[in-house]
Amino acid sequence: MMENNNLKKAVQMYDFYLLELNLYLDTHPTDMNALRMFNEYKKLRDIAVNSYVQKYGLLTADQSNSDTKFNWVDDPWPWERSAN
Amino acid sequence: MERINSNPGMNSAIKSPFPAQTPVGMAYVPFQQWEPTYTENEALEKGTIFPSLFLPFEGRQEVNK
Repeated sequence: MMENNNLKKAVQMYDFYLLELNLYLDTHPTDMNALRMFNEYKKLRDIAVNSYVQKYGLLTADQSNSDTKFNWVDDPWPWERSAN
Repeated sequence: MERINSNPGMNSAIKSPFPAQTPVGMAYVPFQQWEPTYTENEALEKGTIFPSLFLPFEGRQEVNK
């Protein structure tokens, strides 16, 4: 369970970092420092998301990737006890 | 705050904090400059990656002596 939370926290941290860089890049679109960091954190975020999804299931519905079933529904619904 | 109108350094595409001509009697918001950012953990705690934007409210109850 510990690793689940760590991975989830990592995704949140990278999402936050990207959002902050996004706000900065809105007004400084050619700032190489910010742009380099933005591209770097995009990769880190994708790695964290993919490793989370493989181990613990989907974070967002668009990650549903099966062509036989919409596997987004496989995880417990938020109101189901096992979800939290 | 470094000297107003100081050169923003290597990347000239970045505007300086203040317009070249800075007439008196006008209000200015300095243009944000790049700076070393917080680490990921620290950024999440402080709510920003930019140290210059970390402005916690320090106000406390007036302590009546």
